[in-house]
Amino acid sequence: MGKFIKNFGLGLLYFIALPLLIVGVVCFAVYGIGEYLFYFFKGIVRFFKGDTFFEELPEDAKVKEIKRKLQEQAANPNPQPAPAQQTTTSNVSNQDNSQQSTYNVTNNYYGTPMGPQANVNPQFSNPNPRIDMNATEIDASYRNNAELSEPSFEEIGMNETPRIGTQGVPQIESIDLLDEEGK
Amino acid sequence: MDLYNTLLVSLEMSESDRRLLMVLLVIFVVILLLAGFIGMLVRYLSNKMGERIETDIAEAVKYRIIENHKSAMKYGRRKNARLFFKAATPSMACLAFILVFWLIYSLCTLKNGGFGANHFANFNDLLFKFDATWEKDFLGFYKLMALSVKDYPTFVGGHWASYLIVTVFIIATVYLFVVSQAFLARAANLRRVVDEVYKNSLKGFNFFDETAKAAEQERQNKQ
Repeated sequence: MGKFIKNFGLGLLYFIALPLLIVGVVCFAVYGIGEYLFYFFKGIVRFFKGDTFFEELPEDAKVKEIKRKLQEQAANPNPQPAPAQQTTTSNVSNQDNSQQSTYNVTNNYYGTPMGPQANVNPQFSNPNPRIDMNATEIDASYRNNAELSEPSFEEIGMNETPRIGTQGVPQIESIDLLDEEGK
Repeated sequence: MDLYNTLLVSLEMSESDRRLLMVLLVIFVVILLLAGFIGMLVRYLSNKMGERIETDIAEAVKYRIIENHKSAMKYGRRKNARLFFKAATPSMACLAFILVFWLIYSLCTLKNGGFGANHFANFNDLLFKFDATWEKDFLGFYKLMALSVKDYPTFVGGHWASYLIVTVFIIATVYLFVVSQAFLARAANLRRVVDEVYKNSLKGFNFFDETAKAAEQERQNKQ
Protein backbone atom coordinates (compact mmCIF):
# COMPACT_ATOMS: atom_id res chain seq x y z
CA MET A 1 0.00 0.00 0.00
CA GLY A 2 2.89 2.28 0.86
CA LYS A 3 4.48 1.64 -2.51
CA PHE A 4 1.18 2.28 -4.23
CA ILE A 5 0.77 5.63 -2.50
CA LYS A 6 4.39 6.50 -3.24
CA ASN A 7 3.93 5.75 -6.94
CA PHE A 8 0.70 7.68 -6.94
CA GLY A 9 2.41 10.69 -5.37
CA LEU A 10 5.34 10.45 -7.74
CA GLY A 11 2.94 10.24 -10.66
CA LEU A 12 1.21 13.37 -9.50
CA LEU A 13 4.56 15.09 -9.09
CA TYR A 14 5.77 14.06 -12.52
CA PHE A 15 2.46 15.03 -14.05
CA ILE A 16 2.83 18.51 -12.61
CA ALA A 17 6.55 18.76 -13.37
CA LEU A 18 6.30 17.37 -16.90
CA PRO A 19 5.86 20.75 -18.63
CA LEU A 20 8.86 22.13 -16.74
CA LEU A 21 10.93 19.07 -17.63
CA ILE A 22 10.00 19.38 -21.29
CA VAL A 23 10.87 23.08 -21.30
CA GLY A 24 14.22 22.27 -19.66
CA VAL A 25 15.05 19.57 -22.18
CA VAL A 26 14.03 21.81 -25.08
CA CYS A 27 16.27 24.60 -23.76
CA PHE A 28 19.14 22.14 -23.44
CA ALA A 29 18.42 20.84 -26.94
CA VAL A 30 18.66 24.39 -28.34
CA TYR A 31 21.94 24.87 -26.47
CA GLY A 32 23.14 21.49 -27.73
CA ILE A 33 22.27 22.36 -31.32
CA GLY A 34 24.27 25.58 -30.99
CA GLU A 35 27.21 23.65 -29.62
CA TYR A 36 26.77 21.04 -32.34
CA LEU A 37 26.98 23.69 -35.07
CA PHE A 38 30.03 25.26 -33.39
CA TYR A 39 31.85 21.91 -33.26
CA PHE A 40 30.69 21.06 -36.77
CA PHE A 41 32.11 24.17 -38.43
CA LYS A 42 35.24 24.05 -36.29
CA GLY A 43 35.72 20.40 -37.26
CA ILE A 44 35.15 21.15 -40.94
CA VAL A 45 37.82 23.84 -40.86
CA ARG A 46 40.20 21.50 -39.06
CA PHE A 47 39.41 18.71 -41.52
CA PHE A 48 40.28 20.82 -44.55
CA LYS A 49 43.46 21.95 -42.84
CA GLY A 50 44.49 18.31 -42.75
CA ASP A 51 43.93 17.75 -39.03
CA THR A 52 41.54 15.38 -37.34
CA PHE A 53 37.91 16.46 -36.98
CA PHE A 54 38.21 16.78 -33.21
CA GLU A 55 41.38 18.13 -31.69
CA GLU A 56 42.92 15.87 -29.07
CA LEU A 57 42.37 17.22 -25.61
CA PRO A 58 45.59 17.77 -23.62
CA GLU A 59 44.24 15.59 -20.81
CA ASP A 60 43.62 12.74 -23.25
CA ALA A 61 47.13 13.08 -24.63
CA LYS A 62 48.53 12.79 -21.12
CA VAL A 63 46.36 9.75 -20.41
CA LYS A 64 47.62 8.08 -23.58
CA GLU A 65 51.22 8.81 -22.63
CA ILE A 66 50.74 7.35 -19.16
CA LYS A 67 49.03 4.26 -20.52
CA ARG A 68 51.79 3.76 -23.07
CA LYS A 69 54.41 3.95 -20.35
CA LEU A 70 52.48 1.51 -18.20
CA GLN A 71 52.24 -0.92 -21.09
CA GLU A 72 55.96 -0.63 -21.70
CA GLN A 73 56.64 -1.29 -18.05
CA ALA A 74 54.34 -4.29 -18.08
CA ALA A 75 56.10 -5.67 -21.16
CA ASN A 76 59.62 -5.09 -19.72
CA PRO A 77 59.47 -5.29 -15.93
CA ASN A 78 63.31 -5.02 -15.60
CA PRO A 79 64.54 -3.16 -18.63
CA GLN A 80 68.20 -3.91 -19.39
CA PRO A 81 70.43 -1.46 -21.17
CA ALA A 82 70.55 -2.17 -24.87
CA PRO A 83 73.85 -3.81 -25.93
CA ALA A 84 76.13 -1.61 -27.98
CA GLN A 85 75.97 -2.60 -31.60
CA GLN A 86 79.13 -3.16 -33.57
CA THR A 87 79.28 -0.73 -36.35
CA THR A 88 81.48 -1.31 -39.31
CA THR A 89 81.93 1.20 -42.01
CA SER A 90 81.99 -0.46 -45.34
CA ASN A 91 83.11 1.05 -48.54
CA VAL A 92 80.68 -0.40 -51.03
CA SER A 93 82.20 -0.11 -54.45
CA ASN A 94 79.83 0.24 -57.29
CA GLN A 95 80.84 0.55 -60.86
CA ASP A 96 81.88 4.15 -60.32
CA ASN A 97 83.12 3.55 -56.74
CA SER A 98 81.53 6.77 -55.68
CA GLN A 99 78.91 5.71 -53.15
CA GLN A 100 79.67 4.88 -49.54
CA SER A 101 77.29 3.37 -47.06
CA THR A 102 77.46 2.48 -43.39
CA TYR A 103 75.77 -0.59 -42.01
CA ASN A 104 76.01 -2.86 -39.03
CA VAL A 105 77.75 -6.17 -39.33
CA THR A 106 77.25 -8.57 -36.47
CA ASN A 107 78.15 -11.92 -38.02
CA ASN A 108 79.83 -13.03 -41.17
CA TYR A 109 79.00 -15.98 -43.38
CA TYR A 110 80.50 -18.47 -40.91
CA GLY A 111 78.62 -17.12 -37.93
CA THR A 112 81.73 -15.80 -36.25
CA PRO A 113 82.22 -12.26 -35.11
CA MET A 114 83.85 -9.97 -37.57
CA GLY A 115 86.06 -6.93 -37.31
CA PRO A 116 87.39 -5.72 -33.97
CA GLN A 117 85.23 -8.28 -32.19
CA ALA A 118 87.42 -11.06 -33.60
CA ASN A 119 90.35 -9.97 -31.44
CA VAL A 120 88.38 -9.93 -28.23
CA ASN A 121 88.33 -13.71 -27.90
CA PRO A 122 91.64 -15.20 -28.96
CA GLN A 123 90.32 -18.78 -29.05
CA PHE A 124 88.53 -17.94 -32.30
CA SER A 125 90.42 -19.20 -35.29
CA ASN A 126 89.90 -17.68 -38.63
CA PRO A 127 88.02 -20.28 -40.68
CA ASN A 128 88.80 -18.57 -43.95
CA PRO A 129 92.36 -17.35 -44.21
CA ARG A 130 91.48 -15.24 -47.21
CA ILE A 131 89.46 -12.88 -45.05
CA ASP A 132 91.32 -10.51 -42.80
CA MET A 133 89.40 -10.72 -39.51
CA ASN A 134 91.05 -7.59 -38.19
CA ALA A 135 89.86 -5.44 -41.03
CA THR A 136 87.50 -2.67 -40.13
CA GLU A 137 86.72 -1.75 -43.69
CA ILE A 138 85.58 -4.17 -46.32
CA ASP A 139 85.51 -3.61 -50.01
CA ALA A 140 82.45 -5.61 -50.83
CA SER A 141 82.59 -5.44 -54.60
CA TYR A 142 83.37 -8.65 -56.44
CA ARG A 143 85.11 -6.88 -59.25
CA ASN A 144 87.72 -5.22 -57.07
CA ASN A 145 87.90 -7.88 -54.41
CA ALA A 146 88.74 -11.36 -55.60
CA GLU A 147 88.74 -12.67 -52.02
CA LEU A 148 85.02 -12.29 -51.77
CA SER A 149 84.28 -13.89 -55.12
CA GLU A 150 83.41 -17.56 -55.42
CA PRO A 151 86.44 -19.96 -55.48
CA SER A 152 87.45 -21.24 -58.89
CA PHE A 153 87.14 -24.93 -59.83
CA GLU A 154 90.93 -25.28 -59.71
CA GLU A 155 90.95 -24.06 -56.14
CA ILE A 156 88.48 -26.70 -55.01
CA GLY A 157 90.29 -29.52 -56.88
CA MET A 158 88.27 -29.80 -60.07
CA ASN A 159 90.24 -29.56 -63.25
CA GLU A 160 87.31 -29.46 -65.61
CA THR A 161 84.10 -27.62 -65.59
CA PRO A 162 81.27 -30.17 -65.20
CA ARG A 163 78.95 -30.38 -68.16
CA ILE A 164 75.64 -32.16 -68.62
CA GLY A 165 75.99 -35.42 -70.47
CA THR A 166 79.59 -36.13 -69.51
CA GLN A 167 80.64 -39.32 -67.83
CA GLY A 168 79.78 -39.70 -64.21
CA VAL A 169 76.87 -37.37 -64.38
CA PRO A 170 73.44 -39.04 -64.61
CA GLN A 171 71.80 -38.31 -67.87
CA ILE A 172 68.11 -37.87 -68.40
CA GLU A 173 67.05 -40.12 -71.25
CA SER A 174 63.29 -39.90 -71.22
CA ILE A 175 60.59 -38.26 -69.25
CA ASP A 176 57.30 -40.03 -68.63
CA LEU A 177 54.50 -37.60 -68.50
CA LEU A 178 51.25 -38.47 -66.79
CA ASP A 179 48.07 -38.08 -68.72
CA GLU A 180 45.10 -36.12 -67.42
CA GLU A 181 43.77 -39.12 -65.50
CA GLY A 182 47.11 -39.55 -63.69
CA LYS A 183 47.98 -42.85 -65.33
CA MET B 1 -29.19 18.69 4.31
CA ASP B 2 -26.60 20.71 6.14
CA LEU B 3 -24.41 20.69 3.06
CA TYR B 4 -27.32 21.92 0.95
CA ASN B 5 -28.01 24.73 3.40
CA THR B 6 -24.37 25.75 3.40
CA LEU B 7 -23.61 25.61 -0.36
CA LEU B 8 -27.12 26.10 -1.65
CA VAL B 9 -26.39 23.38 -4.17
CA SER B 10 -28.19 20.13 -4.44
CA LEU B 11 -25.81 17.28 -5.40
CA GLU B 12 -28.08 14.62 -6.68
CA MET B 13 -26.58 11.80 -8.72
CA SER B 14 -28.25 8.94 -10.35
CA GLU B 15 -26.80 5.42 -10.24
CA SER B 16 -25.32 5.75 -13.72
CA ASP B 17 -23.70 9.07 -12.81
CA ARG B 18 -22.20 7.46 -9.73
CA ARG B 19 -20.78 4.62 -11.78
CA LEU B 20 -19.40 7.06 -14.33
CA LEU B 21 -17.72 9.04 -11.56
CA MET B 22 -16.16 5.86 -10.19
CA VAL B 23 -14.83 4.91 -13.62
CA LEU B 24 -13.39 8.40 -14.11
CA LEU B 25 -11.73 8.23 -10.71
CA VAL B 26 -10.17 4.86 -11.50
CA ILE B 27 -8.92 6.17 -14.84
CA PHE B 28 -7.42 9.19 -13.11
CA VAL B 29 -5.61 7.00 -10.57
CA VAL B 30 -4.33 4.67 -13.29
CA ILE B 31 -3.04 7.62 -15.31
CA LEU B 32 -1.20 8.99 -12.29
CA LEU B 33 0.27 5.58 -11.50
CA LEU B 34 1.41 5.21 -15.09
CA ALA B 35 2.92 8.68 -14.94
CA GLY B 36 4.76 7.61 -11.78
CA PHE B 37 6.13 4.49 -13.40
CA ILE B 38 7.10 6.35 -16.57
CA GLY B 39 8.80 9.03 -14.50
CA MET B 40 10.73 6.38 -12.55
CA LEU B 41 11.74 4.75 -15.82
CA VAL B 42 12.91 8.10 -17.19
CA ARG B 43 14.91 8.73 -14.04
CA TYR B 44 16.49 5.29 -14.24
CA LEU B 45 17.39 5.79 -17.90
CA SER B 46 18.73 9.26 -17.15
CA ASN B 47 21.01 7.86 -14.47
CA LYS B 48 22.20 5.17 -16.87
CA MET B 49 22.84 7.75 -19.59
CA GLY B 50 24.61 10.01 -17.11
CA GLU B 51 27.04 7.28 -16.10
CA ARG B 52 28.66 7.48 -19.52
CA ILE B 53 30.41 10.73 -18.65
CA GLU B 54 31.96 9.07 -15.60
CA THR B 55 33.64 6.43 -17.74
CA ASP B 56 34.90 9.12 -20.11
CA ILE B 57 36.59 11.26 -17.49
CA ALA B 58 37.58 8.42 -15.17
CA GLU B 59 41.11 7.85 -16.50
CA ALA B 60 42.10 11.50 -16.42
CA VAL B 61 40.85 11.75 -12.85
CA LYS B 62 42.39 8.47 -11.66
CA TYR B 63 45.80 9.31 -13.11
CA ARG B 64 45.48 12.65 -11.32
CA ILE B 65 45.92 14.66 -14.48
CA ILE B 66 42.99 16.85 -13.46
CA GLU B 67 43.81 18.53 -10.22
CA ASN B 68 40.89 20.75 -9.37
CA HIS B 69 37.15 21.17 -9.66
CA LYS B 70 37.28 23.83 -12.37
CA SER B 71 39.50 21.83 -14.72
CA ALA B 72 37.37 18.74 -14.18
CA MET B 73 34.19 20.61 -15.09
CA LYS B 74 35.82 22.10 -18.17
CA TYR B 75 37.16 18.75 -19.32
CA GLY B 76 33.86 17.01 -18.59
CA ARG B 77 31.85 19.62 -20.48
CA ARG B 78 34.06 19.25 -23.54
CA LYS B 79 33.76 15.48 -23.38
CA ASN B 80 30.00 15.77 -22.97
CA ALA B 81 29.74 18.07 -25.97
CA ARG B 82 31.67 15.60 -28.10
CA LEU B 83 29.45 12.74 -26.97
CA PHE B 84 26.42 14.82 -27.84
CA PHE B 85 27.92 15.64 -31.23
CA LYS B 86 28.41 11.98 -32.03
CA ALA B 87 24.97 10.98 -30.74
CA ALA B 88 23.12 13.83 -32.46
CA THR B 89 24.80 13.44 -35.84
CA PRO B 90 22.21 10.97 -37.29
CA SER B 91 19.27 13.16 -36.36
CA MET B 92 21.02 16.31 -37.54
CA ALA B 93 21.89 14.61 -40.81
CA CYS B 94 18.23 13.62 -41.23
CA LEU B 95 17.09 17.17 -40.51
CA ALA B 96 19.63 18.57 -42.96
CA PHE B 97 18.48 16.08 -45.59
CA ILE B 98 14.86 17.06 -45.02
CA LEU B 99 15.71 20.75 -45.24
CA VAL B 100 17.48 20.30 -48.56
CA PHE B 101 14.69 18.06 -49.83
CA TRP B 102 12.05 20.59 -48.81
CA LEU B 103 13.92 23.41 -50.55
CA ILE B 104 14.31 21.44 -53.78
CA TYR B 105 10.73 20.14 -53.69
CA SER B 106 9.35 23.61 -53.01
CA LEU B 107 11.37 25.09 -55.85
CA CYS B 108 10.13 22.36 -58.19
CA THR B 109 6.47 22.88 -57.21
CA LEU B 110 6.34 26.66 -57.20
CA LYS B 111 3.17 26.60 -59.34
CA ASN B 112 1.38 24.24 -56.91
CA GLY B 113 1.93 25.98 -53.63
CA GLY B 114 5.69 25.76 -53.47
CA PHE B 115 7.00 27.13 -50.19
CA GLY B 116 3.46 27.81 -48.93
CA ALA B 117 2.39 24.16 -48.95
CA ASN B 118 1.24 22.89 -45.56
CA HIS B 119 2.94 19.52 -45.32
CA PHE B 120 1.63 18.81 -41.83
CA ALA B 121 -1.96 19.26 -43.05
CA ASN B 122 -1.24 16.90 -45.92
CA PHE B 123 0.22 14.39 -43.47
CA ASN B 124 -3.15 14.29 -41.68
CA ASP B 125 -4.39 12.06 -44.51
CA LEU B 126 -2.65 9.21 -42.75
CA LEU B 127 -4.40 9.79 -39.43
CA PHE B 128 -7.87 9.02 -38.12
CA LYS B 129 -10.23 11.98 -37.97
CA PHE B 130 -12.87 12.08 -35.24
CA ASP B 131 -16.09 13.97 -35.17
CA ALA B 132 -16.82 15.15 -31.66
CA THR B 133 -19.85 17.03 -30.43
CA TRP B 134 -19.37 19.23 -27.39
CA GLU B 135 -22.05 20.96 -25.38
CA LYS B 136 -21.62 23.59 -22.73
CA ASP B 137 -23.37 22.82 -19.49
CA PHE B 138 -24.81 25.33 -17.03
CA LEU B 139 -21.48 25.59 -15.13
CA GLY B 140 -19.55 26.47 -18.31
CA PHE B 141 -17.82 23.12 -18.70
CA TYR B 142 -17.77 21.45 -22.08
CA LYS B 143 -19.31 18.05 -22.13
CA LEU B 144 -18.53 15.48 -24.78
CA MET B 145 -21.83 14.39 -26.20
CA ALA B 146 -20.83 12.24 -29.13
CA LEU B 147 -17.65 10.89 -30.67
CA SER B 148 -17.46 9.18 -34.01
CA VAL B 149 -14.83 8.43 -36.62
CA LYS B 150 -15.14 10.95 -39.41
CA ASP B 151 -12.38 9.83 -41.77
CA TYR B 152 -10.17 6.77 -41.98
CA PRO B 153 -6.53 6.99 -43.04
CA THR B 154 -6.15 7.39 -46.79
CA PHE B 155 -3.06 7.56 -48.93
CA VAL B 156 -3.03 10.43 -51.42
CA GLY B 157 -0.35 9.92 -54.04
CA GLY B 158 0.21 13.62 -54.60
CA HIS B 159 1.17 14.12 -50.98
CA TRP B 160 4.07 11.64 -50.94
CA ALA B 161 6.62 14.40 -50.31
CA SER B 162 4.65 15.64 -47.30
CA TYR B 163 4.53 12.13 -45.86
CA LEU B 164 8.29 11.76 -46.28
CA ILE B 165 9.13 15.20 -44.90
CA VAL B 166 6.87 14.99 -41.86
CA THR B 167 7.76 11.37 -41.01
CA VAL B 168 11.51 11.96 -41.14
CA PHE B 169 11.11 15.27 -39.35
CA ILE B 170 9.16 13.69 -36.47
CA ILE B 171 11.59 10.76 -36.10
CA ALA B 172 14.65 13.04 -36.20
CA THR B 173 13.12 15.47 -33.73
CA VAL B 174 12.16 12.75 -31.25
CA TYR B 175 15.62 11.22 -31.53
CA LEU B 176 17.21 14.63 -31.01
CA PHE B 177 14.97 15.13 -27.98
CA VAL B 178 16.13 11.82 -26.47
CA VAL B 179 19.76 12.64 -27.20
CA SER B 180 19.33 16.07 -25.63
CA GLN B 181 17.84 14.45 -22.57
CA ALA B 182 20.93 12.25 -22.34
CA PHE B 183 23.08 15.35 -22.77
CA LEU B 184 21.24 16.98 -19.87
CA ALA B 185 21.54 13.84 -17.75
CA ARG B 186 25.29 13.65 -18.37
CA ALA B 187 25.72 17.32 -17.50
CA ALA B 188 23.83 16.83 -14.24
CA ASN B 189 25.78 13.68 -13.38
CA LEU B 190 29.06 15.41 -14.22
CA ARG B 191 28.30 18.18 -11.76
CA ARG B 192 27.35 15.64 -9.08
CA VAL B 193 30.42 13.45 -9.58
CA VAL B 194 32.92 16.29 -9.80
CA ASP B 195 31.47 17.90 -6.70
CA GLU B 196 31.95 14.63 -4.88
CA VAL B 197 35.47 13.88 -6.16
CA TYR B 198 36.89 17.35 -5.64
CA LYS B 199 35.03 18.04 -2.42
CA ASN B 200 37.10 20.04 0.02
CA SER B 201 34.73 20.15 2.91
CA LEU B 202 35.29 21.35 6.44
CA LYS B 203 32.35 19.36 7.74
CA GLY B 204 33.35 17.61 10.95
CA PHE B 205 36.64 19.47 11.19
CA ASN B 206 37.47 21.40 14.34
CA PHE B 207 40.52 23.59 14.22
CA PHE B 208 41.30 23.29 17.91
CA ASP B 209 40.84 19.53 17.96
CA GLU B 210 43.39 19.09 15.21
CA THR B 211 45.88 21.51 16.75
CA ALA B 212 45.52 19.77 20.06
CA LYS B 213 46.19 16.42 18.39
CA ALA B 214 49.19 17.83 16.56
CA ALA B 215 50.58 19.33 19.76
CA GLU B 216 50.15 16.00 21.55
CA GLN B 217 51.90 14.21 18.70
CA GLU B 218 54.76 16.67 18.79
CA ARG B 219 55.13 16.23 22.53
CA GLN B 220 55.26 12.46 22.17
CA ASN B 221 57.87 12.72 19.43
CA LYS B 222 60.07 14.85 21.65
CA GLN B 223 59.88 12.31 24.46
